[in-house]
Amino acid sequence: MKKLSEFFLILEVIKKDLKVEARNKAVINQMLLFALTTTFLFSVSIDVESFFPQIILLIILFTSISGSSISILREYDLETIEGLKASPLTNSQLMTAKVLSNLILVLVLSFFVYPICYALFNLKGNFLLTFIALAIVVLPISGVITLLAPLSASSKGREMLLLAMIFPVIFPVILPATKLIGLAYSGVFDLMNALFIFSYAGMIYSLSILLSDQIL
Amino acid sequence: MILCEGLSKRFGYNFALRDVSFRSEGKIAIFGFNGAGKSTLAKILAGVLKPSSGRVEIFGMEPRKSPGLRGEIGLVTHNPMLYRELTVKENLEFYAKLYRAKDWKSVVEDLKLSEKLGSRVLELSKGFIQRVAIARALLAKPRVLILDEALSGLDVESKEEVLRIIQNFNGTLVFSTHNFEDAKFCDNFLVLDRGKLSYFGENYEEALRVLSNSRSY
Repeated sequence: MKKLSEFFLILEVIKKDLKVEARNKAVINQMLLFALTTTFLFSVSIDVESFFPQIILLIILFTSISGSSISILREYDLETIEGLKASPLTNSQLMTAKVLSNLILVLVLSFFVYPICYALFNLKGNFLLTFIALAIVVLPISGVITLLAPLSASSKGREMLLLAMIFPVIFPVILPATKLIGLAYSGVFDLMNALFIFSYAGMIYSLSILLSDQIL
Repeated sequence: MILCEGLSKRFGYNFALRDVSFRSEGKIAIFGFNGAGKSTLAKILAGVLKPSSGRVEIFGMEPRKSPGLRGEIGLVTHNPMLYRELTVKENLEFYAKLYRAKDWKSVVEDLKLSEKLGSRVLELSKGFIQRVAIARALLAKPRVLILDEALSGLDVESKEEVLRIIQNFNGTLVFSTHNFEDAKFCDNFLVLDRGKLSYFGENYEEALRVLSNSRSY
């Protein structure tokens, strides 16, 4: 019963986060604008089909960093994070809520961006399997952003710092992610790489929750 | 009861609080000039900040380690800690759910916020925002109320209303203010000078005398 009520607290924070993002629109607009500009530039400049896994990964990765990190950093800028820290929420509950709301945000964005990429790049591969592969790849990306964004919150050049911190942590999944997307595009689901990415995302999420006292 | 023992807080190389120790019951006023460490002390007492060293206990529990205790502490700072995009009602409902507060509508009426429930926080004046922040702190009927410059931005009428609520507050109160006259009703007075405790006692006049001699003055 206690666990259930703790889960409802996490759910309330997620609901609040998504409501704030939907009302604010700044983050969603920034993410969409970045994604669409990059997609358009790639679609007119190179033969995308040969590099599709790398390009879509690049778009999703940088769009997620540019947008979803802001949603966490804004809590620090407006000091609303102090209201949450002063509440009966534990740091691990707060971190879990932040990880999940960030994941939903990035997944929703991918849901909008991917079909546009597919149409603009004039792709002919497996649409659904590629989308599932992308959804799996998004798991560690959003986890790493949520884990590292609070650490850069008080830094002056935090956008650059965040990018520099994210890259080495996300590096181990880049190759498996491109392979997973590439094979999914040709209609094959690469279970081994999917499992590796799942495990890595699980490790990042566990680390976020374990280190929540130090991070937040 | 609030107990602080050897409490220090460091930000980088700077000490915001240095070896602060006191034991207090009832209503306590914190006096000090800018940079004295009042906000840092308030945030440590509310469990928002972790002390660099020393111990803080409220009713025998450490606020940072006890979510249950934090549920009984109301905190108001100069920053309202409200979500500007959400309405007053949405903000209060959100915090009411976190604090598991059921009967919070009376607080809204006490602070005369009923008409503003549907307004977004970003549409409100500074005075109203501060009233909502006070309502947020009071909605769970806390046993401990920590106010750090909570009256700043309020007009005379609102300030008097809020002061009346604070004076009638039936619990432990920590009240930090620049307007010392407002805190005259408190049982204990604590003076901070550049992070150090320079006075702790029941004598209001003595607290003001120590304050006027403090180095930040």
